Amino acid sequence: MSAWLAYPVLFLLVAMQTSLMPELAVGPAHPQLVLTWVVCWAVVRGRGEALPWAVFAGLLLDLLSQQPFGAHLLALTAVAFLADLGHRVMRGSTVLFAAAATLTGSLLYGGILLLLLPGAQRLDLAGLFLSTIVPGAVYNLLLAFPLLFILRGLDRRFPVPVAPELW
Amino acid sequence: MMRRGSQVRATSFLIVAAVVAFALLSLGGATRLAGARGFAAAVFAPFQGAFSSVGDGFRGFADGLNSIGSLERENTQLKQQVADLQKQLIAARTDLSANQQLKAMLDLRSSIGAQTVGAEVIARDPEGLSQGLTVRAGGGAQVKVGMAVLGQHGLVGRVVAVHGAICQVQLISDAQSPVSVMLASSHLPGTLQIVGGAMKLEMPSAPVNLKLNPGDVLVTSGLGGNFPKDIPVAEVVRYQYQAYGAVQEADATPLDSLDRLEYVQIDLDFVPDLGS
Repeated sequence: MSAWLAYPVLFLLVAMQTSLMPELAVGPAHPQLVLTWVVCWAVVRGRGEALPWAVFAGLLLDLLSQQPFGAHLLALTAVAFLADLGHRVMRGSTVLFAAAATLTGSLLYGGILLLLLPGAQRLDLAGLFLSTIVPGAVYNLLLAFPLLFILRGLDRRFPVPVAPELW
Repeated sequence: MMRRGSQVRATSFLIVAAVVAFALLSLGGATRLAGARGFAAAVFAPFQGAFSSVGDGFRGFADGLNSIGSLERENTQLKQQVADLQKQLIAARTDLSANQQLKAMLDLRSSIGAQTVGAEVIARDPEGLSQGLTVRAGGGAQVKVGMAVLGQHGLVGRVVAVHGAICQVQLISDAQSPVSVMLASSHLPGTLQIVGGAMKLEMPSAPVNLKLNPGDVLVTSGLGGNFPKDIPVAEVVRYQYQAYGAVQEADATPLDSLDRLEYVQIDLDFVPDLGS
């Protein structure tokens, strides 16, 4: 996808993440639209294309959150990188790949953010992980399927330009 | 499969991002970047406001869906309330009906100028073979056998047995309980009795070309000493003059609905001389 289109989309996604998504929370399970979008884009496209999105979206989330600056950047970039690495073991942008990447990525993302919470050493991190991160991961898993469908459409609309890879 | 170039680029991004992230983290939280966050908040605010409105709509929809679950409980509660209110309504109607009956009975008592005591109908003849009631008279009432029993509009029977406050009443619809009556308008005498299950007025000494109209009221005549005089009893329903009949007959009906009596009053002033 063209960067001219990608970044405004990410801007809107971050805005939605901080305004619309909390309204869609089911109990402790909060959907993470930006995370799922980035992971699914990594699944669909690979080739490290999701990483710039992760950096940009991570910075925006850091600007809009109350967590330590850099936490979202680190967590989102790490997740996108791991999802990209998933192409080494899973061929194609299958639903199973997307589901596994989303579930794993959500748990990793949540875990990193938990560890970077101010005063994390005084918190019941395991309890928080089980009560908020795991339900959120399940929610993200459900969210991944429609996003995967959308991103596959974008992938077809904006195909990867064929260029020789640098070795 | 990720190619080497992509992997290098991705790894580079990760390293750069991680370095930046740790650098930002090392700045010590939000305090030094408050300005940037304030600016970001201002930029995002319109979009967040718009999406938040959408979110409110979603929330309202979700709440609506969620409320469906609570609707069942609420529905059950409302049904219970409706049932309770229906009970109250029935009780109110019953009270109203009782009030109307008692008021009518008081009116009757005033019109005939008798001293009466109220009694509640507590039982009826179980087999319906005899037309009788069991009533519970007011405490301390000096009810005696033979006393007239009045309804809302007139005579309904007489006391045939007394067991403390409990009295057995023989209704005027009993075939064994004829009532001497007279036309309230002309004082022509007759007898009310049950013939073939229907109340008949028999007038053996009726004049030629006797005319009776539906609604003509019959009152007790006092003859025979069974009932006090001038108590309304029944009204004429149908009459056909029998030119060659020795006795003129008319269909009559009690002024009170004898099968719906709930309260009666017993005329304490009239004590028949049973010995005679």
